[in-house]
Amino acid sequence: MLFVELRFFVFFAIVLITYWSLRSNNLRKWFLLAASYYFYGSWDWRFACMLFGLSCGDYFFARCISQTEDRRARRWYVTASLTMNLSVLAFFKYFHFFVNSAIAAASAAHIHLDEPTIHIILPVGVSFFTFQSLSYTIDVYRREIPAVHSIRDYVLFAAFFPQLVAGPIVRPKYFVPQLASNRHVTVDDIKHALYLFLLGYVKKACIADNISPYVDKVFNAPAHWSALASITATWLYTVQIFSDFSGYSDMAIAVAAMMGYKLVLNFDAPYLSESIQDFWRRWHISLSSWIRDYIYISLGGRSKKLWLTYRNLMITMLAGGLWHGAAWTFVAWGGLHGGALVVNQEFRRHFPLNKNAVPWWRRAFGWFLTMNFVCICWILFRASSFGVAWLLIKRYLLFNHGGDGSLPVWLIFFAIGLLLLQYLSRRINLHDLVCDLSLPRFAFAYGCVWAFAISMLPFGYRPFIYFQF
Amino acid sequence: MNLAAPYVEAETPLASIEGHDREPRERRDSPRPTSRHIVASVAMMSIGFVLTAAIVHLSIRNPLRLYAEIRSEKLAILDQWRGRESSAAFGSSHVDDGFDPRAFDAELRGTAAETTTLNLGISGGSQTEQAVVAKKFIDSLPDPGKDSQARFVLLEITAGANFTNDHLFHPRAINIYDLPIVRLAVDYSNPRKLGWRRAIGRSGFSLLAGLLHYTNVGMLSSSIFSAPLNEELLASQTGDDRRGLTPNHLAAPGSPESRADQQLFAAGGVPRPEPGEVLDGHYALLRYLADAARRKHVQLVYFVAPRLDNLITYSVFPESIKGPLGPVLILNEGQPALHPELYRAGLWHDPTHLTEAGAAIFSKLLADDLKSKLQLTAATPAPRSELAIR
Repeated sequence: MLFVELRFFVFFAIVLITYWSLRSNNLRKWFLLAASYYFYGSWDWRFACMLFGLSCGDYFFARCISQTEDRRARRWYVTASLTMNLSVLAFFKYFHFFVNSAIAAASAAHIHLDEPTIHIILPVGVSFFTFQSLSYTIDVYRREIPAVHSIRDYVLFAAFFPQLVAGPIVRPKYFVPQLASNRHVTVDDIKHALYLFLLGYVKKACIADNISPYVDKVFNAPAHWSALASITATWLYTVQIFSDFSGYSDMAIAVAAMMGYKLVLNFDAPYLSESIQDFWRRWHISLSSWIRDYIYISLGGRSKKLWLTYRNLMITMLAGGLWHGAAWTFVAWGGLHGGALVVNQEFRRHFPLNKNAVPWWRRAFGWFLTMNFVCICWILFRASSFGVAWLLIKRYLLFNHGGDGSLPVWLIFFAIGLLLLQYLSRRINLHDLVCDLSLPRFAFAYGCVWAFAISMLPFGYRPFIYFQF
Repeated sequence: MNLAAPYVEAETPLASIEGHDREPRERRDSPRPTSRHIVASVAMMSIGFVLTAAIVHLSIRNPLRLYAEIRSEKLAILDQWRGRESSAAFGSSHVDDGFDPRAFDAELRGTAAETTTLNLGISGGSQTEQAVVAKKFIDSLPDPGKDSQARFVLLEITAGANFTNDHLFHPRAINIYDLPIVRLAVDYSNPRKLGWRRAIGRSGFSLLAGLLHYTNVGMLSSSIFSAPLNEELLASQTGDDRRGLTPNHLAAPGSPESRADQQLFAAGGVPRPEPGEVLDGHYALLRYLADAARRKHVQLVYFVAPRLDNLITYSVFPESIKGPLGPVLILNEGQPALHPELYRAGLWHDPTHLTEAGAAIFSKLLADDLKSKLQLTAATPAPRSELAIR
């Protein structure tokens, strides 16, 4: 059930009406829990059972951790929780990756191994809900939050349907307190949520899904396409992945907000970043802060020894890459970003900046470098193999002219348009401007944009890219 | 412990104090809206929606954007042949992979009905899509001159309704549901002949599709992002001068299709005739095409494509029905007793679709039938202006 599909609209309308017609917070939470499991079960009920099992396990481990002061016991329980969650992740997401890598390594050593016949289906959103659960037990272990008393509340936190399958990754310390009291919304909250939902819908259905066929054509058979077409496809993918993922995040935040819950911001105009460090402050914020808190800091974080800091950074980014997908291309993507962060740190160390007086040319050059680096990295992210990625990277850098295939040139303006829109919407604060309209004016504008959005619907809906992660 | 307190961030290369873990902006408290406010807002939203939909609708010059993966290829073939073609066959998959223009034209060569035909059948196409493509085809013909060939529009009388959810919610498949097409679709839904359930389903579908059409679902995006043609399909439809015929080859031995063929062939017995359905829609389709056909001197002809289950029952139609421009022939090739040569192994891909070899035989039979109904022979060609049912 995708947020852009008609059946989700029907589902959510029923949920919203029922939710607000219930008076007691307890009833609302029970109802939301049932709705969340129905939502997840619409993909596969077996995995809904697995999600329930994981949630109960983590609830139990966190309770055990909070009830004992014995350090060894606490460590044992948190290790058990980590093992449980990571085992699920490793089995469902990385089984084939590990096995195929082992077969490839054995083959390189002239040892023949047969491929297993087992076929494992990837539960949608497994990386998101396992990370979310992990953060809970680790936070309890670190004594940053107390264990949740009500199992219903914890299971609801773990399965809350707006952010269940593709984030934002919500921390218990942020979300669980919201469950304590009856939620209320104001007209401004509703306007804000409706605006965000429509924005996300336009990003996903009208932009990402419409340009996706062009990107697929080039990335699926790159040999035929010219260098210009390959560059266009790379830029389009840059637009697509942002529109797709930030569109989902916007809709998730909006759906939760319509029920009175707040989720964290996940994107902050990432393509306006002036450095790679800046980019990671703006892109998939909930993940980058998660890996910072639970991997980077756990490894020691910033150390007095510079090489240790860089090592921690590289390990963190490699893990972040692997989190995205079970393929070496994703690991390489993470590695490239890690390397770029190290280079950026070194550069800043040798050429420190006065934050208040950065010359415009340096900002523009920084933006240009960052954007092109990010685009090249997206090639690795999207390509099915290193061969395809290498070919397209060579074309991006104009080392390969490619074939005769061309894409409509005007598509390039999509990337430029997106940048301009991001820039302008920040300059004029479009969001506040829209939400500050009076209710009738807001409603009129809303009707206009919906009519436009519907006329821009794509040929077919495509699943959100991040569902596969 | 204060659970709501924001957690302390370390200054790391991955995180900044300003960027991470930011909450959505706190909104100021606003007064509770009255029911009047809510009604006014809903009204304003509807006005905004309708106004924008109307503007978008009027700004779209060519709303004929068909389902790209199946249908646009036929429009591309029509463009490729512009000026050279004079006739075309329309309908569903039974035409798409069952009508061979080469065999049809060869049979009419040297007669007054000599023509150059295209196969513009659409797999999964409905009667309404058949109507729209036929109208586009007739409009695309040049004005008739002295040297022009005979012009036929061959319409499959048994083209299915083929209404699916994909068509309903598929932006690029419903764009043809403008008002005349909705009326046409409703004309095909006679509850006395079809039963209430089918009639309501068909009419309801077309009304809903019409509503979506005027809401412009996907029309703007299909104008901007013209979907790429299916090059593989196009190559198969244009290779070896097929002119739109999608070739079907033999069903794989042992496949469900081939087993179904064997069962039908083995069924034996005498096929049972049943009255064929001539619905209001069939007359409405003739009316829909009449003006254009009159201007371009096009003769409208209905035909029945054969099916393997004709070996059990087959439909009987009148030889012609009354159209706005005079009688319209119904060429019924779905009669095993008349055309036993069609019901042989190797000519069927599955129980309702012919192979390429079967398509050639059917098309020759269709041309033969047309010739005989028009009483034309190669030896005594009649003047083209006299092409009419004798």
